[in-house]
Amino acid sequence: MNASVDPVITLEHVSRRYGAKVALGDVTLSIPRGGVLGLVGANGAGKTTLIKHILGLLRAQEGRVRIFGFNPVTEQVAVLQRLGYVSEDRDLPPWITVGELLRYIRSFYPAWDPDYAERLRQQLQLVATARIRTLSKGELAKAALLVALAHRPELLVLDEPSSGLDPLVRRELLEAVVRAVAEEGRTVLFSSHLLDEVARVSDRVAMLTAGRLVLHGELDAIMESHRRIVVRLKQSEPAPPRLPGTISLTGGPEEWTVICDGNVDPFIRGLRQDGGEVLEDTDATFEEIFHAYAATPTRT
Amino acid sequence: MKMALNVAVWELLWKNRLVFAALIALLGLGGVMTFAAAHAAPDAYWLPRARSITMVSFLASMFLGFAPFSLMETPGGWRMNSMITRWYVLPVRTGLLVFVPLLIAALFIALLVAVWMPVLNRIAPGLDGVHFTGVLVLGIVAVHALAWTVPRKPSQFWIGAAVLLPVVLVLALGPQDEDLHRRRGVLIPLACITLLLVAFAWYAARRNRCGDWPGELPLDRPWQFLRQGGATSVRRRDFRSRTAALLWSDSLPAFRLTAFGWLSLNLVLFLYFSLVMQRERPELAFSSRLLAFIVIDLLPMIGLLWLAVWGIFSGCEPSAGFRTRLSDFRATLPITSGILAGHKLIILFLGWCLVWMPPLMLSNWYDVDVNGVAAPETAARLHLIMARFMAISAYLMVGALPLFLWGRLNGFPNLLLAAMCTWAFLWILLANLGTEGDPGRLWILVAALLVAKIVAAAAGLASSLRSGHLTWRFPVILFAGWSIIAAFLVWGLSTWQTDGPYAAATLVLCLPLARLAWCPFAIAANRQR
Repeated sequence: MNASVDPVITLEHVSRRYGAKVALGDVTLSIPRGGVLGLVGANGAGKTTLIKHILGLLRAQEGRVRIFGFNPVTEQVAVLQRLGYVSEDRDLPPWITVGELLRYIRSFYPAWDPDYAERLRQQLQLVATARIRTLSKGELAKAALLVALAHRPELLVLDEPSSGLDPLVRRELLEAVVRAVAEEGRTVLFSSHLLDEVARVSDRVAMLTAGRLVLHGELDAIMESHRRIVVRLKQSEPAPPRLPGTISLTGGPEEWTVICDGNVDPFIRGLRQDGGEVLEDTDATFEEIFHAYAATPTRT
Repeated sequence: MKMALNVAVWELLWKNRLVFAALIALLGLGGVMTFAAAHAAPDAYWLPRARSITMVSFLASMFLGFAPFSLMETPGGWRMNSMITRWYVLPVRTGLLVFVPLLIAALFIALLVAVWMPVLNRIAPGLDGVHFTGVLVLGIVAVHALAWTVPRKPSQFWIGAAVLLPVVLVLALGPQDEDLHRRRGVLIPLACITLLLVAFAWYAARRNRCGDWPGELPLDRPWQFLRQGGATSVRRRDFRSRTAALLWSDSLPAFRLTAFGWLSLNLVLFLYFSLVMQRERPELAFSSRLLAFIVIDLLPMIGLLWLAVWGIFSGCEPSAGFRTRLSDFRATLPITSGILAGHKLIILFLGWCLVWMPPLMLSNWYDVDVNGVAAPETAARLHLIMARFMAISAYLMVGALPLFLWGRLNGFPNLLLAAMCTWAFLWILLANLGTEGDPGRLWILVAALLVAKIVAAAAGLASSLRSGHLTWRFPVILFAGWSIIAAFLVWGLSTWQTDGPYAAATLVLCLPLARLAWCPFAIAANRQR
C-alpha cells in the first residue's frame, strides 16, 4: 500500500466544545492516501466528533479541516461524492429493499459501477429483494458497507462498523474492507474500541483520549517503540517513581509495571541510579499501550 | 437538481405510494357520492349523509396529503429523525435538499385541492380554492421549517405538527371574507409569511447540517425542571423502601409534569371562558355544560392519582409497546409501569389540548352567523357536539397510541400521522352524523371504536405470542379481568342514569383507565414463561 504525498485528511488544531466539555482539543492530524487508519479511543473520547468534522456534519469551532483539499462544510458535494460512510447507527431507509437501495444511491455518484455493486452484493451475501427493516444486525452492517463501497470512494469512513456484531460477521466485514483497500488503494478511516480488530487491519493508528490526540503513527513503529518493563525498586514507595520515558506505571510499592516509549536506555539508567533493577523487559501489547495512554490524557 | 429530485422521488413519493392510493380512493369516494347526490331526489334521506361523507373524505385527503411530506422518520426511537440525518450525508447541496421536496409538496397540495374543487363546489358552493390552497401551502411550508429546525427531536416536531395541522385546517375552512378583492388581499401577507418560512427552513437546515445549531429547541432544562424540579431538589436522604425509590424516580416526575400540564390547561381555559366567552357569550360561559367539561377534564387527574398508587407496584398497558417492554423489564416491572403510566397520561393530555382548542375556536367563529346576528341555539348545539368530541377524541388519542406503537414495531412509516388522520377522520365523521337526540347511535360508534381498539390489541398480542414474548395466560387473564371491569362499569352506568352522551363519555374515559388495574395480574401470570 503506497502512500502518496498529498494527504487525504488534514486537521489542523481542530477544537470543539460542548458547553464545558472538550469534545476535541487542538487535534492536528494528517492522513496520507492509501492504507487503513485505525481511530481508537474509549467511549466519549471524541472519535465520532472527529468523524463528523471530516464529513462536514460539524464545523470546527477552532482550527481547519480539509478533505481532499476541500472544506467539508462549505464544499459538501465535492467531499461527499468521493467519500463512503458507514455510521454507527447504520442509517438506511428501513422501508426499502437492498436492490432498491442500490438503485436509489447510484444516482448520487456519477462513477457508479453497477457490475461492481452487484459483485459486492453477492460477496456480502445480501438478498436483493430483502427489505432493510427485515435484515439482521449483521446484514444491516453489510448493507451499509455495500452502499458505502459500491461507488468506489477514495476515502472510506467507518464509525464503529462492527459494534454489536458477532465475531463471524465482524471478520467478514473487516475482510471486505481489507479487500477494498488492497484492490483499489483506497484510504480507510476506521473507528473502533475493539483493539484486536484495529491491530489486525490498520497500517496506522490514531488514539484519542478525552478529545485529545495522544498517539498517532505507523502501527508497526508504535508496537516496536513501546516496551513493558517490570521493575523492582530498592525501597518500597507509596507513590510511583518519576522516570524518564514513562507513559504509565502500575503496581507498587516495590514492584512496578512500566509502559514506556522510545529509547528505554535513559529510563533504565535512571532506574539503576536509584538502585532499582529490571525484572522483565518485553514488547508491550497494543492493549497495554492503549490502556497506558488512556490513563495519561494530557501526554502528547 | 437531479439528485435532489431523486431524494424526493424515493424518500417521499415511492415510500408513501400506499398513501397516494388512499388519496385516489378517497377522491373516488367523494366523486361517487357527489355524483349520486346530484342525480338523487332532493328529499332523499341519504343526501345529508352523502354530503358528510364527501366532506369527511376531502378533509381526510388533506390530512393524508400532508403525511408523505412531513420529512419525519423515527425508527428505533424518538431521539433522531433518521431521514434528515441520511440526507445530510448525501452529496447534495442543502438548498436543493430543502427546496425541491418543498416545491413538490406545495405543488402536490395545490394539485390535491384543484382536483377536489369540482367536487367541493357541489357540496359547499363558495369555498375559495385559492384561499384554501394558500393556507395549506403555508401549512406544509411550516411543517418543513419545523422538521429542518428540530431534526434531533422528533417529539418536538410531532407536538408542533399536531398543533399546527388543526390550526391550519381551521384557518383554511374558517369564514372567508365575502369581498373577493379583500380575500385576495389576504393572500399577500400569507405569501410573505410562506416565503419567510421557506427562507427560515433553508437557514435552519444549513445551520443544523454543520452542527451550528443543536437540531432541537432548547427545552431540556424546562422539561427537566418540570419533571424533577430545580437543581436544589436533589434528594439526599436514603429511601425507606424500594417502592418509595420507584415512586420518587418514576411516578413523581410524571406526576409533576401531568399536574403542571393540567393546571396550565385549565388556567388557559379559565381565562378564555372568563375573559372572552363571558364577554361574547355570557349565556354559555358558566353553563352547566361547561361544568360537565371541567368534570371530564378532572378524570385524567383522578386516573393519575389512581395509577400513582396502582402503577407503582406493577401494571402495564397491554398493547402499548409491550412486546419490547416485556422483554426488557423482567427485573424492573414497576419502573416500566410507572414510565408507561406517565407516558400514557402525557399523551392523553396532548390529546386534550388538541381536542379543546380547535372546537373552541370554531365555535367562537360560528357563534356569529352569516348575517352577523348571534345565534345562541347554534352555539349551544355546538357545545354539545364539543362535549362529545372531547370524550370520543380523548378515547381515540389513547386508542391511537397502541396502534401507533404496534405499527412502529412493525416498521410502518408515518404511523403517528396515520393515527392522527384516523382520529381526525372519525372526529369529523362524528361531527357530521348529528347523533344528538339519538344516543343509541353514539353507542354504536363507541362500540365500533372499541372493536377497532380490540382488533389492534389482538394483532399486537398475536404477534407477541408468535415471537414468544408472551404466553397464552396473559391474554386470557387480561380478557377475563377486563370483562369484569367493563361489566361493572356498564352496570354502574345503567344505575346512574344521566343523559346519553355524558354516560358514554364517562364510559369511554373510564374503560382505558380501569383496564390498567387488571394488568398486574396478567403480567404476574406471564412471568413464569
